[in-house]
Amino acid sequence: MHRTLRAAGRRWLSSAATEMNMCTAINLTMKDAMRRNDKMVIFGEDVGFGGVFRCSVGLRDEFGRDRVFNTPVNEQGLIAFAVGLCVAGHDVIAEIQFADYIFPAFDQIVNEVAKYRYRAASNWDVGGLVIRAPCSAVGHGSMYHSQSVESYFAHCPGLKIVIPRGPYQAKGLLNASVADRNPILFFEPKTLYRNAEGSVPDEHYTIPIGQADVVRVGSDITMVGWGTQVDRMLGAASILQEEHGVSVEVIDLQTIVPWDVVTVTESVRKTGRCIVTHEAPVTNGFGAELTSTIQERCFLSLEAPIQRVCGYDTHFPLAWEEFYLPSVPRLVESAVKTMNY
Amino acid sequence: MGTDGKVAEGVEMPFSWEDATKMYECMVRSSVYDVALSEMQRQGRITFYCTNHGEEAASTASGAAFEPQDMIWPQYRELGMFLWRGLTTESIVDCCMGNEGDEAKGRALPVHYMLPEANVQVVHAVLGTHIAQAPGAGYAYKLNGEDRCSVAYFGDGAASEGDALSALNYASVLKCQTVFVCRNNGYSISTPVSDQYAGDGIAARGAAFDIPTIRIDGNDVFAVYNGVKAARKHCVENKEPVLVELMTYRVGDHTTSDNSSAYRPEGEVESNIEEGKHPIDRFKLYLEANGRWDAEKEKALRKKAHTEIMTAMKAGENKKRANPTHMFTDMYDELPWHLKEQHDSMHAHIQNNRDKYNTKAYRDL
Repeated sequence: MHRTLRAAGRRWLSSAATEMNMCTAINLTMKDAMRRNDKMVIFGEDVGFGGVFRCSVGLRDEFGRDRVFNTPVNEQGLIAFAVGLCVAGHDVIAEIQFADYIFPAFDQIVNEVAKYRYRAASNWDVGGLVIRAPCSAVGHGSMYHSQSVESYFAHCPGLKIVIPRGPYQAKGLLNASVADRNPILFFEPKTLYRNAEGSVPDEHYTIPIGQADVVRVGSDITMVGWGTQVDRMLGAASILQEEHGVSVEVIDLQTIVPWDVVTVTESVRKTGRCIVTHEAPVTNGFGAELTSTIQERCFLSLEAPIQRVCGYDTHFPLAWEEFYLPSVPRLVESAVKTMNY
Repeated sequence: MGTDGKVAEGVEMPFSWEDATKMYECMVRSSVYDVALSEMQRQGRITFYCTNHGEEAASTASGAAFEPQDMIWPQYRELGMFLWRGLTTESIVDCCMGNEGDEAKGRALPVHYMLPEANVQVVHAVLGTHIAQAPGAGYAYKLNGEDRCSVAYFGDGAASEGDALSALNYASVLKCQTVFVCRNNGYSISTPVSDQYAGDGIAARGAAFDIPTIRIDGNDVFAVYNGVKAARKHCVENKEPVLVELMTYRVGDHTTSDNSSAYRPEGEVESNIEEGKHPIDRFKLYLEANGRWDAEKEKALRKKAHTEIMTAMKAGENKKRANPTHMFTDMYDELPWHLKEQHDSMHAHIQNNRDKYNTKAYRDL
């Protein structure tokens, strides 16, 4: 009962809604956040004219150059600047142009953002910071425009990591991230900016950080993923139902850290089988963490080993993207193998 | 002010005698504490210490030139500034001992002080990361029209970090009310400035970013005070950053883990502090010449400072360490499930293995 309500949660909102893609949802959410809090500031490379993915279109016109501005091409300086602004009492949405370029800021994120509150004993914190970055495969991105980087940061205590699968989730999760008083990395699968469309309520709402979404209820096997993988898991689930009579429960993790261990383990105890899937390379990807914890808590319920269907341990190649990705056929194959274990 | 303690023609003391005395006292206390705490490290009573020898004027006079509302991001060799802003002896010792009296609950290394009530950010070990953070606050103060600047202290070594260059760029292009104070003390651990940069110190870099810059004799209390005060005024009035380079000399070792005689030419330290070159001696000469200080006052001050640190040390050694529950607090605003589980698991383990740990040293364990 509880899970069904959550999955269908959006139907309970009575307000008007608008069809839009994920880019527009993010744009409108940021606009709303800026209106609600005049101490909020948004910046990043090329954010001023609207951003290379158009997520910040119109913001500078409405809120002015003091609050919406371009930074120099310097990610370490970008995040450091955000830290200083937060410490001075502002809220910040800092945009890193591509998740692939977040690494110059790795030191600031791991050694400063994540540790600020702890080492200052909460006298100061960087809780007003949301770092947004487009991530994941886009069809033609190759090595430096396709990376999924969540596991590098999931290993760092003190951060939260959120990944939306569509416009409805993007608005709710981004609103929640802005409200949350901890630093948050908000990774947006860039292919979903245009490809994910849906109905988004006009009113303000949040989706809780740390809560997974059971997108499809099933009984034979649990699939856990996020971002672009959710649609792939649903595609595989349809085929598995129609062609193999296998009932798949699909879970969108939504928050990587701290993740919804209750929802996931409840599901695996019910189905007895699990596939964890993400675009990032399999070794030490976040799937490893999930697999480890799920098997620890669901050991006696498991009918088969947990499978990981992920990117290979190579760099993201241009020519062979269709083979690299944890595709629908790979998910179907893995599920069949698991059912036959 | 020359190394003979005499001021140049037309120069007047830029502060009151009361402030002059307070400044001198901070400088001496810094020095006395440095000696005592280094000694304590050698005795194994604290694990580590970082002295400020030779930089007392750079630190104290610059600290005194800022306003109380200015937010300072320190590096780790600015005890004079911390003392000027009110860091207590007890706080110093508790931090160095990592006991429960420490504001950070013993989480960090010695000398990692903070002064939330006096606007000084936490000292931290990663070099230079703070330099690029100060401009963010300086931008906020500008936006909010405040008579306030942010300050980043850093050394000649930290100035090589990417964050330092990033800071100058961001502060200048986004126009931030930030004063950068570089203590060029000649060394970054064992690396002399000749191995650190080829250009004309750190001051030359300001021009590249169109940042008003001033280079000052960092051992001259008057020059430091006047220069930093002017820098701050320019910064806040013009809403733009200023770069200050204080030329000084690191008299002591880098930290207690270092032995600088391994890399410094013999006689170099002495030649930098003899005949009034040491900032404390220099300022003392001036105060004495003006009848404001004498040998008796000096003796009393040094004795008082020594007693302060010894008293704090004795009290500190009787304090417990914070309960290890605080390993898990302040990680987030609220404890997430996985930290709650780990916290409970840790405590259960401790209770089941009390004899294997030094539980008595911790509060309520």
